[in-house]
Amino acid sequence: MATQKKTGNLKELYKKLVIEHARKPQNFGCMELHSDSSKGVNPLCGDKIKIYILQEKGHISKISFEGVGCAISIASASLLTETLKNQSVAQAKKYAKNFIMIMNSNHESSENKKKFNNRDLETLMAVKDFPTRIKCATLCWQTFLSAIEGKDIVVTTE
Amino acid sequence: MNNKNEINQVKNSMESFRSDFPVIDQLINNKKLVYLDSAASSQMPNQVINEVSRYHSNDHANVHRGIHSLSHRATETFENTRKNVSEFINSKNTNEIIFTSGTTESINLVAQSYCRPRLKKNKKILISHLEHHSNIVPWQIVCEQTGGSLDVAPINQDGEIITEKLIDMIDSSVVLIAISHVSNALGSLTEVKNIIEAAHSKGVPVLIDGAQAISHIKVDVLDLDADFYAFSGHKMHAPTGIGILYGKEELLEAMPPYKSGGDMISEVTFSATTYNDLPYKFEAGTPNISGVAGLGAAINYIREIGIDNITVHENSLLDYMTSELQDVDGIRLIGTASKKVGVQSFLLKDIHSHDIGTILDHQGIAIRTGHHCAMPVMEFYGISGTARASLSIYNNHEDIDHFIKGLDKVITIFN
Repeated sequence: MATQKKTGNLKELYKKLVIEHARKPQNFGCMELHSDSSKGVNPLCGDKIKIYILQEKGHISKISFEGVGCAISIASASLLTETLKNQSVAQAKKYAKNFIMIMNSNHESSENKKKFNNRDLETLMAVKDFPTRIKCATLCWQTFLSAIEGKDIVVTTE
Repeated sequence: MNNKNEINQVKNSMESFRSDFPVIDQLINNKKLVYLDSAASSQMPNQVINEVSRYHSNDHANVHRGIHSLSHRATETFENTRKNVSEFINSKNTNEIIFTSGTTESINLVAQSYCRPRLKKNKKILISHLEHHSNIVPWQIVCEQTGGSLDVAPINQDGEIITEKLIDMIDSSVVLIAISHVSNALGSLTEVKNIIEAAHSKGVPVLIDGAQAISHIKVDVLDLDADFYAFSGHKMHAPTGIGILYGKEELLEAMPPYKSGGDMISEVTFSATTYNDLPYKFEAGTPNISGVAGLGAAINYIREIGIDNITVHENSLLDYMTSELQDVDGIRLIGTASKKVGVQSFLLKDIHSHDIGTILDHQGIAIRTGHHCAMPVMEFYGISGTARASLSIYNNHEDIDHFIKGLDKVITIFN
């Protein structure tokens, strides 16, 4: 009989904080007054997201998102807005690049949690143990980077 | 075959077939695998796996090309399977069976070879709202190429093609009707025989996408009087990368080749090329010979069990699964056609289907989540996707019980 080593812990993936953010996402909705925006889609699953940013004096003074997706993608986007609000643009970009890199790195395990330097974001580290769900967590961060870098493209995870 | 004793007899005999499928016998996350994703791809029994291996170990060579023994044996396996397919779907002639890479290629072949020369402005292809993307996009492309248009017959809230409305849409401007025998997203069984009869009375040919029907119900292309019938090996317990296009001989004869290269010619000079006869005209290049060998074994396997027994078994499981699902708190069934084949799509409270899929997978239960390559169906219901459980020969009541129990855990986590 073929067997498989046990994968990630479900309770770690769907922590209370993740479920709460998925149920009641922060900064959710269209922001009419914005300096940057971008769309992201996952063509395989149909998840869609749009991120709105208002930049003022090199800082992100306001940020919101709207879209449809699973608990992981909505929670990740909600946490993104909370994390990046009031950050300098340079710092926010660093956060996003770091998040995507850690999520996609084969060498980092979920135990290596210190990298984010942010307790709320660290709850998403469990996603690394569910390889089919990593794209759910990273889509909004890629979309954020696209918006802040002024790229006029729809981000896709494929 | 609605008699309870008969159903029980089938149930008992089907249980013995389960052990033919080695992949089913494994642990996922330390739980017994419950495979409910056969509509995406069905599993192969040992008989098919062994035949593919036997072919590779003993007979492999190129077909129709060599005079040596291996080439002869490979050709024999290849052509015997063509005969086998012909008998399985009851086609009049063996040369009406074209090997392709799958249903998608079969449909593309008809789009480019049959429809492209016939379509033009004011001519159209008629499909339904129920179709898989592979029975939508090839028609959109050929319409773009020719100026033709695509007409879409409506479905009702149960997820059934409204047959009368589709029939009303047939007129002399329709070049071809292309509809699925069974919906991949919802499992609805289309009244293909009535539609074909009505279409023929108006002189319009019909292509049936049979990918989701072929391993579940008896398919008789002569009885249906289908003009084209497309299906895939991997949805009938054969390997991936092999498929079939059945077409009526007189239609196929009149069609130009779809792709070109070796094996589809009878004579090549730099000034002109004469095309080979059917079916080889449509089979340029070295084909998927081992896939064909596996397909032959899969057909033998289905015949051994009996397609009618399979239908009875799967219908009884579907009835059980549907009634158990109805009792789950917060469930909404999507696709409630009166005649269905082995598939149930559903939504659970406000929980996204991917989260349902991950939590079930963690318990060893494999289902499909998302839009199932049928975005227009999702759009019809105003949803982004569903969770879908689909059945096959090897499933049993225990699988359904595990699945329903698995859904309880989904609800617990999200509460």
